[in-house]
Amino acid sequence: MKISLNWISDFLDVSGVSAEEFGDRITIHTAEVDEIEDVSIATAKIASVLITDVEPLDIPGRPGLTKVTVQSAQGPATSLCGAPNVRKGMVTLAAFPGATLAMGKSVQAGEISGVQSECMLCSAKELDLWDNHDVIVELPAAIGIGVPLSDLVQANDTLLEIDNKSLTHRPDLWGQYGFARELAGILGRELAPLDVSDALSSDAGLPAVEIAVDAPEVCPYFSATRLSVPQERVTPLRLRHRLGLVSSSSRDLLVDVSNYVQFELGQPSHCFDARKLSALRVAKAGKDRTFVSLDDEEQNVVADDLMIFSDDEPVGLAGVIGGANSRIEADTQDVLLECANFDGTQIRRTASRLGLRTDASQRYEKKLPIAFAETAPSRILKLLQDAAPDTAVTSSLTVARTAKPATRHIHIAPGALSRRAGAEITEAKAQTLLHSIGFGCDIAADGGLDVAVPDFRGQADVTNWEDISEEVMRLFGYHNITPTMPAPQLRTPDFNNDIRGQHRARRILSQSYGFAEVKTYGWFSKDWTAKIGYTRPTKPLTIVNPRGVDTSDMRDTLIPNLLMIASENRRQQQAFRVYEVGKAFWMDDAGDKQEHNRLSGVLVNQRKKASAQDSFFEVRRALEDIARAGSHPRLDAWRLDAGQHDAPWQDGTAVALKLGDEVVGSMGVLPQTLVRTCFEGGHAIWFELHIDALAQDQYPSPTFEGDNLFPGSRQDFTFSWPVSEGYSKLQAVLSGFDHPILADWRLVDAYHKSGETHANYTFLFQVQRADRTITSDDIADFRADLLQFLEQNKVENLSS
Amino acid sequence: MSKLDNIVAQCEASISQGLDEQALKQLKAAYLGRNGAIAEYRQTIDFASLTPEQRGAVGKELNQATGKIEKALADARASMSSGGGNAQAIAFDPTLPPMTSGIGAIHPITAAQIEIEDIFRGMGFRTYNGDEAVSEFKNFDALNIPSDHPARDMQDTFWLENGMVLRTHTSSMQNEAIRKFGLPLRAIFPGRCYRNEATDATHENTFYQLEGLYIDENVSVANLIAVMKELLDQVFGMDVKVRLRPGYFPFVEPGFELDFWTEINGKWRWLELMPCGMVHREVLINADVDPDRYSGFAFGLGLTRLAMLKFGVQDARMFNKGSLSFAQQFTATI
Repeated sequence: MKISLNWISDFLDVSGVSAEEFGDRITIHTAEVDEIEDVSIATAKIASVLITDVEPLDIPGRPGLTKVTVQSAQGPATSLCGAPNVRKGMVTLAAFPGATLAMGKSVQAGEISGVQSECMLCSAKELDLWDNHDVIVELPAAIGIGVPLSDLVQANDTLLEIDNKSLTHRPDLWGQYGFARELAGILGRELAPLDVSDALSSDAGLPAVEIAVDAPEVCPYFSATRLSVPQERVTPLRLRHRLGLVSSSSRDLLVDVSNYVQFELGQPSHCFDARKLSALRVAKAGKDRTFVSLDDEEQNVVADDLMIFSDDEPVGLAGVIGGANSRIEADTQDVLLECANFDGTQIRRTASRLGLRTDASQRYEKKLPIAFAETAPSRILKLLQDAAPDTAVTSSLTVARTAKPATRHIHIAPGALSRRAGAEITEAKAQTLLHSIGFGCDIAADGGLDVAVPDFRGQADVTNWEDISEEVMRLFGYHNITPTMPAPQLRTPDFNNDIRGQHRARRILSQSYGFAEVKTYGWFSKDWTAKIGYTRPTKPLTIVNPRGVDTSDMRDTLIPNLLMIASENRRQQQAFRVYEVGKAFWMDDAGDKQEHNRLSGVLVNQRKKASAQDSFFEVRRALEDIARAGSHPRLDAWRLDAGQHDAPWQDGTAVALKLGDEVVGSMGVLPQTLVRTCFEGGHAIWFELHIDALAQDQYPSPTFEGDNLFPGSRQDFTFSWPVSEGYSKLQAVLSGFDHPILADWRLVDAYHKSGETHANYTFLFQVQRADRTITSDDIADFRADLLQFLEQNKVENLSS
Repeated sequence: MSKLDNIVAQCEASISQGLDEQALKQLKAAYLGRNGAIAEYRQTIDFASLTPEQRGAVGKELNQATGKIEKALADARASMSSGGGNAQAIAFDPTLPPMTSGIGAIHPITAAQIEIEDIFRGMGFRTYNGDEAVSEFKNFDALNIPSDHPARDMQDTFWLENGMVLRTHTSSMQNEAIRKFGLPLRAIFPGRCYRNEATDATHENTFYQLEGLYIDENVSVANLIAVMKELLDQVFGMDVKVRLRPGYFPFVEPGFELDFWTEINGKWRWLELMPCGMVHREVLINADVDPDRYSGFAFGLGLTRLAMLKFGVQDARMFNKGSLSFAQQFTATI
């Protein structure tokens, strides 16, 4: 929204304050100023003239051109004009040689087909007044000739563009007057009252207008006033220029004045051609229907939209736009002025559905105070009577309303404002600040404050003492509050082990294994999951209103999206590795949402000779490191049977990763069919960990074991074991062996000859005693016990 | 100087130039070899014409010269092998840079998040994630966002078929955290948020925030400013100038926008960084907290925005694109 400092100065002395200072102070105390713009128009050698003669010309290629004779202060002059509204007797603006128009165009005397042009009759756009280039500017006849443009408008102004987002909660600030009130408070200056007509407050015995409100819950206030307005009516130039500055073009005096008050006070209103109306009724549309609005567009109205009817015919879309069927025409003299308060949400929904956010709807959305609707008709009438003194009121101001809301009183405990601010703000100081923006405020018996919320602040804006504290603090100035650290709290917050575990895994993958962390979207692309042949085993958590038709389902694994971005990167690098920490979602059988953290990754190597086995075990080592860094002894990998495969990236190499008996993830080599779908060749390794399952204490404490000073003995054994069973099973079997002198055992070598059913695994067994040096008899006993265990558990020993 | 002394001096001069192993070998051959300078000199002497005394003297001279040359050569070799010499016994160029790197990359949002977690931990704030798919209550009602608020509309929020929403802000964790951890509470909630809006360089439907919440008795606006300033001082490594100005959010009263004074394209100006405010009494009531006893502040730092500022990223969409050329620029320096 734009504020004009000239307009503000109608109500407030703005002298002695620079535009920048206005901008800064409004930003700091009230709402963000986005931009400050100095605007000026050139007025030299431009003045009012009376058109005394219009003579059509017949010049080839210049249809409609006329020779116009005007009477200026310097005597008669001729001009060439093609505007459709040029007519004898009109008072307009002429620019004489030496004048400068918009865009720096300079006016010179000239001649076309032998006709002299000694001055130029100008459109509003040519004079930079408002956006209209179709007609020349008409002035009220009473202006007469020879009045310089500089006397008719304020040539220089400063516009402050306010960020609308910072005004959503302040319906009182959607007009110039609201900002004048704010500035009066900020600057500590006097605010002049709005100049209104008192003709509507007196009971002159005029008839009422027939109105009814069928939906009072969304229209708490509705007023109508009938006026008689002279047909000869021209909006004063200064008023039209101001409308132009705040982005509204000028039309008819009635429409202009209605708009002017909308931009000044913030209250929309509407003028109907009363000849086309009978009784007015505010009601829901009741059924879906089409409605032709003022802009001659057809609107598809739904049953719940609020409309204004004349009998049963819709004549307005309440709070949004009027109807074409009752608009003000050039010959309209019998006018019905409507001014109402509508429910903000009701109006917003209609406007937003129709894509029709008008100046009116934008204001109603903010939940305007009813007080504005009470004031606006008198202000409109005042402006009409100033511009067209023959304007007469022909009905009473007829109002249909719900009960008038009572003034809200709020008590503030003594000292509460200072405590909330963390700075001393005395009650007396607060009282002064509140008075400056129109709040009632008395010192209460307990030393606190009794505050009365003014009726122009709306119903939702100020409702509790904290709201008042904002009014006081922002005027006091947040910059006057000295930053103070809270009192020390000598307690360390708990560690979040899940997050620390994620960061630890990130460090291992990114710092030790060269992985790049990426983030992908939280939903699947159905096109992509179809392309890689993924059918989810879970019931999806689905978005009702997704951005794209194929992105409605939230992901239940991170792998498809990682394969997608890896595939997109395939031409950037031959070999790369990426991972993501993110959420997976699904609906469980009980109908509850499940949401869990996953750490997933893909290693891609598109070089033909690269070894998938090497890559697999490098990733396997990285995951083992993550587990060990979390103080787990190890991760076990268990083959997934074909029946356990539930994703197309799982093939014979897919393994479940376990911590003890708990499955905490899976990994494998990407099947070649998917390698061909995603990459140029080579191989890829995928993994997914339930990362939170690996999280442990922030500072896990492994138990230190001291050196055993008595020498021990290393015994190596090689076992043969079926490859189809997998190493993990052998490990599990051997874990069952316990012996008093067994100090440690671990795998030291594995050999599998391609094509053979069994592989050889060599283990180191360290035997040692804590009480004395081990003897050959001890070793013999140990070997005998181990061999017996192996035989019982069907583990074939190849060692002698 | 005798001719023999000249030969020795020449040889020593050559050695002192700093020769490598191969050059020393050649030098040895040139002076001590069968056709070397010493042998050549010896041939110029007619031993038969000399007296035995003279022969002995000449022989001694020759032996001394040979000894001197051998010692000079040996010294040169010794100093070369001990590394203290100037000889270049190198088969490669040690000044070459590494051609590949073993380090990977941490996502810039994560890097920013970790840094801020560390800063707040130092001020006694715990870290909590929470869910991304949350109830309408947590995302809106608990935060005093009215049922007719535009944010609840379909064009702003992703609604889920189970009636939940994808959280539109990390403020959705406030109610849950107050209930879970009790009071007094100092906590931050970093995480992913979603808004149903068209994307462009500055708008992403998937973005990252870091919410902060501090509730205790007698928490003031002055406290809020001090904590925010401390955060920015640490992030930017300097004494940062901050200011509060009015801003409106239903879950705080008063609400603020926090700006900081910074240089952009050579010009110093205020830059809007994050919304914040004093926790609204309705938010406290919704978490069963007595608003007349406790007060607090909350702030919503845009991690995406901060990462854009900190790393000079112009397009918010880059963060979720997974492009290697983007990701690999952020070396894992955490």
